[in-house]
Amino acid sequence: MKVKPSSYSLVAVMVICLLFIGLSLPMEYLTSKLLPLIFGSVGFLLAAIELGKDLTAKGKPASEVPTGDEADAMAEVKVGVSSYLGAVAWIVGFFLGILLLGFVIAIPLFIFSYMVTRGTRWFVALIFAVTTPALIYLVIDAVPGADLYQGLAFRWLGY
Amino acid sequence: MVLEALVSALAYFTDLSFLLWVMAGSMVGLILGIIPGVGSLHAIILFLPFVFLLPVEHSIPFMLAAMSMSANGGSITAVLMGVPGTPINTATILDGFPMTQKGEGGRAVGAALVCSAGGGVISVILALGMVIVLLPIILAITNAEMVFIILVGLAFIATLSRGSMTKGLISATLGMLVAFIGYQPVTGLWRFTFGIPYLYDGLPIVCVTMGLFGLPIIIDLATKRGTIATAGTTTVGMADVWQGAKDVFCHWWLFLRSSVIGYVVGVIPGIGGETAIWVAYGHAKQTSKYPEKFGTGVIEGVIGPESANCGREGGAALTTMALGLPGSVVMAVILGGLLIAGLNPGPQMLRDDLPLTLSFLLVIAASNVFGTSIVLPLVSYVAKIASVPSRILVPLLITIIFVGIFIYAERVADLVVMLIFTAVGLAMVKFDFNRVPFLIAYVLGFRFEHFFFMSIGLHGPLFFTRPISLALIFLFIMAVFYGPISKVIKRWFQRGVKPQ
Repeated sequence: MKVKPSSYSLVAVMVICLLFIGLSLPMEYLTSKLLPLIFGSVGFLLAAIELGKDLTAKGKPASEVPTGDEADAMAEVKVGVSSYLGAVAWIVGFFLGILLLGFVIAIPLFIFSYMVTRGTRWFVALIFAVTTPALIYLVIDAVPGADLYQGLAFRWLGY
Repeated sequence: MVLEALVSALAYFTDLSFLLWVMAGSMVGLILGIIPGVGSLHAIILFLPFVFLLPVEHSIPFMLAAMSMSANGGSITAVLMGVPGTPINTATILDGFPMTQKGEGGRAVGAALVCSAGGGVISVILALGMVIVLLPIILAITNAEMVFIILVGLAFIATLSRGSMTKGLISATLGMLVAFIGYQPVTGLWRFTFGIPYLYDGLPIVCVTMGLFGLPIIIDLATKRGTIATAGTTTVGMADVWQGAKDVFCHWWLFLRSSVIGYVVGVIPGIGGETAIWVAYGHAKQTSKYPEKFGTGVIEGVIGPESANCGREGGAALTTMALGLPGSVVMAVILGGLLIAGLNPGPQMLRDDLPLTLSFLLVIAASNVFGTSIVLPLVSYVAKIASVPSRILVPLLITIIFVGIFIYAERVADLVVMLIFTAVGLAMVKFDFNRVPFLIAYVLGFRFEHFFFMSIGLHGPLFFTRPISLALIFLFIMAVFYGPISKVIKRWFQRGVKPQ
């Protein structure tokens, strides 16, 4: 019996369902806990069935055979894990930049650094880095009461 | 009643601001549809956080127009560059791109655009006809039937979508569980919030949607360095484009049949646009006098799928608005937009807002006609958008997403939730869990629970014994158990037949 990578995902699903069941049981009212108990149990059962199929399947299980993705999902492109991790790192870095420095500084920094590191000429990147936040601020200005996050750094500095 | 509502619906089109938002949505959808890897989903997801800023008469038409025109935009890149702008333009490449290689790209593009526009119009006419016929039945649907309509819809979506059926059902179940986070609709008590005030109102639809689908697609785009569309041409002659438009009228019967195929597929939840285009392509080939020529660049190979891909829009929109049941992730986002705008999709929306609902259907037709008439003379210029490299697009799209999510409620926590669901979305793709049932179940979860307990309150615990409910329960059982039972029966018969 070989444990495949998808089996771990099914175990995770079972744990999540058990968590919902465990948190629902002590609830006072039946109306509060009925549907979470039902769907938690169904999810647990389905995951257990699929896990059983995965563990007893000969060769590659159906769940690991690459099938066409859902219609609106990502295209099937064989790229390395490092490319995906790199893209994720940029997004997380952008978020951290917003958290610390606010949108005003994070947006042009992110756009400029991303474009330049990917091979765009620096003055083209600079144009996008300057015009994009300007356009965003024009749009935000039109929305009454809307304001972009200023960042923790500015708060610490007393602004 | 419907005819009066239709006249009131047409009155919306006399409002200049309404028309401007429809036109704006058409252009945004067209531009985003042309860019390979960015399709109708992004065209509306990017706008979702801003829905609440506009009146519902502007925001929803914008989203519907963007959704409609993105497929039209995608057909341009499919034909001229051999790269589908959106997944539902894939079948068009088989004959569209060979036509470009033979020097008939303009003809193929003209035919594709006119078919798309015409298909959208046909589907809206069919949807309006269906409203007239089915309105009394739809208005008779009560909370009890809505419970089972949602279950049947989820079962169809989970079983008919690609991938493992069991995993599809697991995704739907998980989506429901996540929907239960926050306050319970009957008791008003908070569940699964762990004392965190942010979770008292549940997780915002925009954050979950953007995280599950928006950012993962951008990440995929980011891994494709350079320009996605490199082959083919962007230069077409106008005479050829008009010739293609005329070809549609020469093949009007194929165009009509394909549009109806698209409409029927669009009405059924769970069967995606890809099914519609391939069924239509197969039908066009089977009914052609020269089926052996398909794949080498024949105009029927373009007319069939393109008529179907826009033909499904009216049916899908009708199912979403009349039953409150989105059949695809795009429609789930539209449903989310309707909920954010304060509308109540389903029989109540037809009961209380029939003119507005019909105006939304008419927007699909209007945007197709308007958008196509604008883009037809400008195809060569518009197609160049597909050459924009991903290194320019990616940071701009990420910026718009982050700003949009923050503007929605001005909470940094929304960005955190979006990132968490991005990780969830990537994990689901990695382990082959279909994200569509998850999102649809999440969007419908709160309403499902509301309908469930309302039904018990009004009809008692035996609410499922109503005739329509029993029919829906039968459909649910068939949807879920037909596949496994037929496999068991097949295996049993095969064991019984011994080889000689």
